Amino acid sequence: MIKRYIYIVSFLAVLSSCTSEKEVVIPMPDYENEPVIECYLQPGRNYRLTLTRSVPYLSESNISEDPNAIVTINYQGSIDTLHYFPHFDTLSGNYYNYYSPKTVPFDFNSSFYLHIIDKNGKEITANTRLIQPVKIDSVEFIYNDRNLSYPQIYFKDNPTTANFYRYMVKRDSLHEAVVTDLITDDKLLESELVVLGGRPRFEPWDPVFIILYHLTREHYEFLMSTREARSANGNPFSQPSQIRSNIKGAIGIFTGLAYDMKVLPATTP
Amino acid sequence: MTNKIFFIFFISLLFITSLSQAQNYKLSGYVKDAGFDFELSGAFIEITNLKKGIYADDNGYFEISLPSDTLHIKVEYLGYKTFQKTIYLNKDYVLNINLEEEGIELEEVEIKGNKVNENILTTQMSVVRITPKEAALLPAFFGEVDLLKTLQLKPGIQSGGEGTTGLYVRGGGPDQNLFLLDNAIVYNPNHLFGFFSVFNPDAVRNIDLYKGDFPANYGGRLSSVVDVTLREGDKNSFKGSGGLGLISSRLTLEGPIVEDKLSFIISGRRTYFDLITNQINRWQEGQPNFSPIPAYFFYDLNGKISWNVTKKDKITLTGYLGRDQFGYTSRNTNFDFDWGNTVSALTWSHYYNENVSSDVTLFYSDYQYNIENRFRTFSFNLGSGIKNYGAKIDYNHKISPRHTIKYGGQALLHDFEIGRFQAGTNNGGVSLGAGTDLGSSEYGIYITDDFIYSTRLRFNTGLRVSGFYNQGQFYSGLEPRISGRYLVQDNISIKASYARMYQYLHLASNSGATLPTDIWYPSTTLTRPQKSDQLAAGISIDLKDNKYSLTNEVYYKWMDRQIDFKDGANLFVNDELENEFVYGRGWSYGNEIYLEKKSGRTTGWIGYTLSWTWRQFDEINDGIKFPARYDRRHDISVVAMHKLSKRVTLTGTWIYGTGNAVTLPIGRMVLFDIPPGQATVVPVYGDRNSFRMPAYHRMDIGLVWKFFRKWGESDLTFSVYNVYNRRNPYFLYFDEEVNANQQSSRFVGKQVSLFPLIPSVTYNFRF
Repeated sequence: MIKRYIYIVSFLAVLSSCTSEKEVVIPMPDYENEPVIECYLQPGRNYRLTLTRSVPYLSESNISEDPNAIVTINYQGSIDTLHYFPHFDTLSGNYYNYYSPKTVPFDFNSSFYLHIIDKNGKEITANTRLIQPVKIDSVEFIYNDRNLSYPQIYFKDNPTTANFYRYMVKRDSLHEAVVTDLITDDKLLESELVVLGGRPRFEPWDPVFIILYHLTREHYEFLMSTREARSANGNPFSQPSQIRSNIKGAIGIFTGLAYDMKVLPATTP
Repeated sequence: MTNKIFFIFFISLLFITSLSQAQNYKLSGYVKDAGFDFELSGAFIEITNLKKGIYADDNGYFEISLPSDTLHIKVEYLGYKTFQKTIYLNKDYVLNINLEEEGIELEEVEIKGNKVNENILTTQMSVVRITPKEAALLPAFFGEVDLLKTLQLKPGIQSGGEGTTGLYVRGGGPDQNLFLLDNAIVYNPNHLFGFFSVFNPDAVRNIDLYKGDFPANYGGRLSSVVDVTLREGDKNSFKGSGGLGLISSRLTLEGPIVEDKLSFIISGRRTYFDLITNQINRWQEGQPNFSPIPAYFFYDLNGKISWNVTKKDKITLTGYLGRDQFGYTSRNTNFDFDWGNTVSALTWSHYYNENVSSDVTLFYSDYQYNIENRFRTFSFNLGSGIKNYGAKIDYNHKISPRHTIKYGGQALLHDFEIGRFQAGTNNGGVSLGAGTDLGSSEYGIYITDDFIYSTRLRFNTGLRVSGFYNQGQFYSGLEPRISGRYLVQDNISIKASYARMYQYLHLASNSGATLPTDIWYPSTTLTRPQKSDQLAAGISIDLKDNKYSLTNEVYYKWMDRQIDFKDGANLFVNDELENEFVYGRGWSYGNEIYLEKKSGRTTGWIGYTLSWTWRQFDEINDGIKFPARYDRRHDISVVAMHKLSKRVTLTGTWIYGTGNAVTLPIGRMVLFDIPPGQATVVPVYGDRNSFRMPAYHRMDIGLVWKFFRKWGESDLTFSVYNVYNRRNPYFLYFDEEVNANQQSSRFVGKQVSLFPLIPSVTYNFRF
C-alpha cells in the first residue's frame, strides 16, 4: 500500500514540475515616451500634481521628470500656476513634483481645468469637478477563530445615481502598506445600506486606518484599468487593456478626491 | 409564450408530410466494421450481374429494390477487404455485412484500380472524418486518447495552445464551432479547462468535421460543424472494453437486450486526481500551517439504446452526462466549482422505400457552471448556463437517378441564465445580487439537391432559411450553399464551394482560452447575428491506385458582426453584458495541402496550412486591422503509423506552428496613488496582438503492443509526449527583478512553458 502511494506522489511531483519559465529576448518596437500625470483635487488642500514620463519597458532608466513644464489650473477664470517642487505628502506618503500654495475651494459645482505645456511643447488638457464624500456610518470588527479581525463598515449608497467606491484599510499609519484595497461600483448592491469587509489581519488593539473614498467615474475607470494592466502582464487568460485616462495628450488622471476616514483600535472578541 | 407558439407551429409544419411507398423484393442490411462494430457509411454495395449499386447511408444502412434473381453482391469500402456473396432473391432479404480491415494480415494490400473513392466522387469538400480506431493508435497526452486533439492534426484546424482541445478552424474562434452529439448540441466540449475533450473515444463511432462547404442541414455557427456520432451496442453478443491510464480509467459495456432487435451501450470514465490529493491531505492534516490541496476530478457517462422496431423503423436514445468538480475546504472556507453538460437525443429513423427515408430527432442540451464560496458567515454563489429543447426532421429522397434531395428543418428553444450572482451574510446584513434570464428560439429549414449532371459534372445546391426570435426582435437569414465537382479523370476531381452561415448565439469570453465560465449570449436588438461567407476551391487526386490521396484547398472567409470586448470589460457579473461588447469584422484566407497514405504497413499523412486571419474593430487599435490571436502563418502536421508486426504498431507525430499573436507592454510608467504612498510600476500596452510568441513544435511517439487472449484482446499503449523536450511557449510576460535592497534592478522578458517530455502508458482491453 505504501509503495502505491509513493508511486502516486512521484507522479504528482512530475506533474507539478511540468511548468517552467526561462528568460527570453523579446524584440521590442520603438517607443516614444509619454507624459504621465496624477492630480487629485482635495478641498482645503493645496493644488499638487505629479508629472513624469513613461519609459520603454526594458530600458535601464527609471522614471524621468519634466521640471520645465508650464502647469496651470483654471478655476472660475482664475488661473493658478503650479511650480516644480518635488516633495512627499507627510500624511499619505504620496510623491508630487508640482505645487501651488493656493488651496482647492469647497466648490462641488464648478469645473477645474488643467493645462500643461510639457518640455517638448506638447499641450495637455483635462477638466474635472469635485465630488462629495460619503460618510462611514459605523464600523464593526469581525473575528475569525484565531482572534484576528477585520473591520466591516456600513454606509449608505445613493440609489438614484451611479456611485463608485474605494475602501482601504491600513495598519498603524497611512504610510504603511494597505491590508485591504477594494474598488467597486454600486451596480450589484441590492439595498441602500452597504457593507464592506476585508481580510482578518488585525490583532486586538492594532491601530486601524479605515478610508472610504467616493470616486468619480473617471477615477474609478482609471484605477480599474491600471489594475487590469498590471494583472494582464503574466496572466495568459487576460486580455490586456489600455489605461483609461481622462487627460488629453497624456496618460493619467485629473480628478476630485473625496473620502471619509476613521482611525480605530481593533477591538477584542 | 410567443416563443412557444412559434415553436409548436413550426414543429407542426415540419411533420405534415406524406409520402408514397412502393412494393418490391428488398435487399437491405447494415455494413459494419468487423472489429469495432461501427457502421461504415458510404460503403458501396454493388450487384455486379445487374450492374446496380447503392451507397450505405450515415447509419451504414442500405436498402435496394431488385427483381427476383440470383445476385452477385460485392461490398467495398476503402481500407477494408472486399466482401462478396451470391444469393437468390425471391423474398425480402436482410444481409448484415461485417467488413474486415485491410492489412490486418500484414501483407501489403494491392488496391484494385476500380475501387470506389468517395473523396473523388462526392461534391463535398472541406470535411475531415476521424474514427476512434485511428485516434487510438496515435501517441496521446498523458495517455488519454482525445478525438479533438486528433482533429487538430488535420490541415485548417488549429489548436489554441499547449495541450488544449480548442479548435480554431479557418480563422474562426472556438465559439464558432457547432458540436453535435447524435444531433444534440454540446455547448462546452471540454474537461479540465480544455486539456481534455468530453468525447469518450470508447463510445464514439466517428467524428465528421466540416470546415467549409457546409451541408444545408447544418447551421448556427460560422466556422465549423463537429458532428459526433455515438456507437450503437452490438445486437448479437455481449462485449466490453476499457482501459486503465495514468490519470483516468474507463469502461464500456454493450450487448443485446433483445437479440437482433434491441441493444445498449454504456460507457463511463473518471479521473483520479482527487483520490490522490485527498490522501495527501489526510497525511498532512494537523500539521502546522496545513493548507489542503484542492480536489479535482471529472467524469462522463455516455449511453445509447438502439431498437430496430421493424425492418423499416429504428429508434435510438442517446444520453450524455459529464461533470468537472473542483473543491477546496479548509477550517473557515468552502469553495466548490462545478460545470458540465447534460445531453440527450431521441431519434426515429424510418425507411419508406429504397428512395425515401427520414430521421426525426428530439433533443435536449444543458450546460451549467456553478461556483459556491463560503467564508464563515459570508457566502456567494455565481453561475451561468444555457439550456435548449429542440426538434428536427430530415428527409432523404432520391427522386431520380440524377437527383437526390434532402430537406427538413429544426426548431430550438433556448433558455439563458446569464451571470447569476448572489452574495451576502447569513444575517442578511450584506446582500449583493445580479443576473439575467433570457429566452429565445431559433429555426431553420433547408433543402438540398445532389444533381448528377453528367459522369464528370456534379452539383450540390442547397438553401437554408434560418430565423431567431428574442424579446420581440426577429432576425432571419438566407444561407445559400453551393458546391460543384468536375471529374477530370477517374482519380482526379476539382471542386469549388460557397457557403453562408449565420450565428445567433455568442460566447462572451475575454480570455485567450475557452474557460468553463464563458457565457453564452443570444442575439438582441443591439447584438446582431454574426455572418460568414466562405469560398473554397480545391483539387483531389488519388495516386498509385488509391494508395495515396492528395488534396489541396484554397479558401477565403469573410466574417461580419464579430464580437470583441471593450478594454476593461467586466464579463463575470454584469447585468448589462452586451454594453461591454464591441462589434467588428474578420477575414481569413489560406491554402491547405493534405497528403495521405491510406493503406499498407505504413500509413499516415502530412498536412500544411498557410493562412492569414485578421480582425478590425472601430474601438480597438484605433480602427486599424490586427491579426487574430490564433493567426498562424504556417501550420504543419506529420503523422505516421507503421505496423511492425501483427502485435506491434509504432506511431509518431510532429507538429509545427507559427507562434500566436499576443499583446505585450511596450512601455512602463510609475504611479504614486495605486495604492497611495507607494510607487507602482504600471505597464503601457502597444497595439493589439503586435507581438509573436516563438514558434511551437513538438514530436510525440507511441507504441501499441497487442495481446491476443482467449477472452478477447488487450494492449499496452506507450506514449512519449514532447520527445525532444521542447520548451514551447505558453505565455510571455515581463518581470521586474529586485536587488537585495528590494529596489528594482532591471526588467526582463520571460517565457512560461507547460509540458516537458511526458511518458505514459495505458492498458486497454476488449472482450
